Amino acid sequence: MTDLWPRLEALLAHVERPARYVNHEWGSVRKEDADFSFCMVYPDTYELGQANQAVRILANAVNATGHLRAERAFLPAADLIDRMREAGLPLFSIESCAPLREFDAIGITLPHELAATNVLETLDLAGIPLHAGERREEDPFVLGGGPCAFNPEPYAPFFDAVFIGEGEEALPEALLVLREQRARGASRAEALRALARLAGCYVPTLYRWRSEEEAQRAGSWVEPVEPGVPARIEKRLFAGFAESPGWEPCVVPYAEVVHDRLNVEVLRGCARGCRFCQAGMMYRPVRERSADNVVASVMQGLAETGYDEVSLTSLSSTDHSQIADILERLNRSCEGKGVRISVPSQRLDAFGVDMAKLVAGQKKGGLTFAPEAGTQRLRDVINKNVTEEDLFGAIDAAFAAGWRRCKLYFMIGLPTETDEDVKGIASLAQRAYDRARAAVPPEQRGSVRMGVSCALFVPKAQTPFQWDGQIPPEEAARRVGLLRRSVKYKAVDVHWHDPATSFVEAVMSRAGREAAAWVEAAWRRGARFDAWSELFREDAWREAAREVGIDPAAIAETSHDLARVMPWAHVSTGVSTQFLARERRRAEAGETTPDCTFGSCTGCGACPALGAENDLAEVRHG
Amino acid sequence: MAEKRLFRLRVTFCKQGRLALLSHLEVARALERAVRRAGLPYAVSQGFSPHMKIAFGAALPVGVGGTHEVFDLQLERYVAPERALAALQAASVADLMAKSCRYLEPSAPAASVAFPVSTYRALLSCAPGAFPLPREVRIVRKKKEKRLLVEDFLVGEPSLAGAVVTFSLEAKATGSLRPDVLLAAGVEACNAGGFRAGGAGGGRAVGEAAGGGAVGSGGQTAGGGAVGNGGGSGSGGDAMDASVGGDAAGGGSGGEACLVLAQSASAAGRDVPCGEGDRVHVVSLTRIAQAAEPPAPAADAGQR
Repeated sequence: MTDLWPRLEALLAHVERPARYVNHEWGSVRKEDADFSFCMVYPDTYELGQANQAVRILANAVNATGHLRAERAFLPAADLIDRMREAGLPLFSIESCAPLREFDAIGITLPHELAATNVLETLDLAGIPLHAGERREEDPFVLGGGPCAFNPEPYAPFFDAVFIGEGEEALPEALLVLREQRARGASRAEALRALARLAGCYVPTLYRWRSEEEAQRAGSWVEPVEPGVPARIEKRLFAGFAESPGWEPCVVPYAEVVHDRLNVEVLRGCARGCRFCQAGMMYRPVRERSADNVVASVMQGLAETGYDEVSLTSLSSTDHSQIADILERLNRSCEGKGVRISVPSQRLDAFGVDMAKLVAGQKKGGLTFAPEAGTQRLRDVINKNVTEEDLFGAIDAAFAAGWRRCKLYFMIGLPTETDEDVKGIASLAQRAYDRARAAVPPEQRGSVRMGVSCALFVPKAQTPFQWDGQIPPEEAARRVGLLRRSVKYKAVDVHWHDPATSFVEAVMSRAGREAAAWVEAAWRRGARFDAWSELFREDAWREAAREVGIDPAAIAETSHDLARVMPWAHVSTGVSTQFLARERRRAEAGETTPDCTFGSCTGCGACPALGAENDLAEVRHG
Repeated sequence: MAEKRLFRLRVTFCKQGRLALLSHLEVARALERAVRRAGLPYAVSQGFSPHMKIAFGAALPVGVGGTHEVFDLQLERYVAPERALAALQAASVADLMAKSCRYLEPSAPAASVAFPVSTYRALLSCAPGAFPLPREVRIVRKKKEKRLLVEDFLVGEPSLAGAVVTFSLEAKATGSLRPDVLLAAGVEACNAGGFRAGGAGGGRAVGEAAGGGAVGSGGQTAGGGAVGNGGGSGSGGDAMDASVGGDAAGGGSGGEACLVLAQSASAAGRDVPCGEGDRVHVVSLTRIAQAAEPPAPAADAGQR
């Protein structure tokens, strides 16, 4: 492969933080004995992508497979991109500094709804045609996957294949299929046809996009254009997760990146069943790695990477049946080494605070809790099974234990929200502040801070709220104004996440294939790095909608009845549409649904559909 | 509780090849991680946020390499220097490699102030007839202009041998002159002023340079624009050919030698005189020595 380093090096003297592009990190591997090359791409900068677990897991899985080798690539920051375009330098991989277009296949992960224009920026900078249909025999196969693949349609024209679900096994299998096809001289189209037969693999060019009426009648928006292509794509599940080691080799970056620490995934899936949460539906069933596995993985990972911090990652680590045992054992093993242990996503009760205490040591920064809604009525609607007493119990424990700052996350615009619910956020935060002050010695009360952080509700595909529209921006502004006026305490400050990006997220989450043209037009008008609030170009997205003639507001804001067939009906997380609809009806009635890992089955359908079960290390106790 | 006795290990290392592009902070973090990987019994500070007791020498700018860089590490128990070195080397990448270890008296000056005089060597793209450094360097930082007199910082006379420029700068309590900024100003003057043709020229030209002024003051871009660096180890670049193998070990016990540029650049094929239309640029810039005192005249600046 071509080594672009000499040409790249000449540009690096002029750009910010060249350490992002130099390779040679500890743990970086370049496999030689393989005849099929794959490049794993994170469609944003190195700082955001290097610690991404999908990049690490999938590159390792490919490198562990005979005949295959994997490298990493990231989108350079805008300053280098512009210099590369000037110099005619294409997008390069990190390990070999080779052009992406010289790889046999590239895989782009879709981590969130604001990455779409960066997918196009990646392809364009790599010199790969944007549309699957325009690619020539010598172009790499362009594969996609990740959380946003559960509604693949807004990205469909840009990918040769999209993988639904967990890729540990599916990706190497797919690459071996492509390698075999190439070895027998198959054309690109033939190779993709073979790929479409692989479980969990969606090849958009083999499906016709139906009209509205047709889709509603047929129960799906896509129709296979030839026999042998599945009408419905079921997600892949990595059944061996619980037994697989929590430690696997990782790259230790030089540049400061987000989550720059050892990340050990302790469990996968969450069955709490919050009705707005896509991850909670997407990763079922729940699988826990044992305490022995986790502790051994952490100790080996720290020794091999030299990190001084480890995070026990998952959607809800404090729900792990052995979390207290894990944290106590890690504390003992790490004592005196200056190693920090962190647990993301604090469980909202006194037990969650006990766990936080176990890892905080003497330094207590801020604690973050997510009640999501301000009143019990609305928390029941969204199935956030947390009461005011849980929250206050957590606050009492946290402030008595020495914390002085607390941040509360809420969403505005949840289905059925009224002005009373909005005012309820202010009331809850103020009463939480009172509780916090009361738990602190009088002379320290002045230092107590309570932050309220609000984001606009984004209806997500594959959730019980997928049929619900987002509230319009003007209404969102009114409700936030109401919230701000309702907060009377100076020590309680309200932060508000940019609603313009939440709007694009809602469209990308709910749209069908028609949104791909919108994304492309927005990108042509300069939209890229949309997740960076200072780089988000609202005007480009607005003008793009006018240009391609779609009404993004209708896509984001229309509420549908539960019988409507949504654009992702052909893609399944394992959770049945009937379950989603039933959950939506229970929401309307204010009825909650328990977490099946603490009690009995709630009938979501994931286990039978995927031939799997919750796999817990021990019995969970709520 | 009585303070526990600690063992103070001074480690020298090189920063070279691609990794010359790391910032001081990135180097510091990478070395801390190497110490942890090496499994050395490092001491940890007390207090709210315990951290490794490690102290770094004077910072190098982004884009500038070093062959005798220093950090001091406090150990809780004695480890034979050869064993400490071997453990560090096994935990390091080639371009950020430990070269030597020795124990210091607890009272020895800190690594950051022990060596105020730094000697730098730059490899230029061709051999100019002369390379007089400017008398003054203008620094623009946060829209404020500052003028630094080169003679306030320069120690001894700069030398030119073929395409290799060697000069020494002294760090002052009030600040330092960045070597890359000075060199870029020299290159600019060289390209603008016809010094290439030979002849000492009259006086020192005034150079201009954008970018940060003082070393370690946080600039994340390679200053001066013109600084690149030679090929990385294993990539077979020019610098590899120009290395002086054993000499570079500087008392170290056997680690991989740093890629020190030869006094004469002939081995690198860089002694070709600059042609009439050539523009000089910097191929690499490396700190080749750090000293407590200005170097004695006639001594080889590469030795300490």
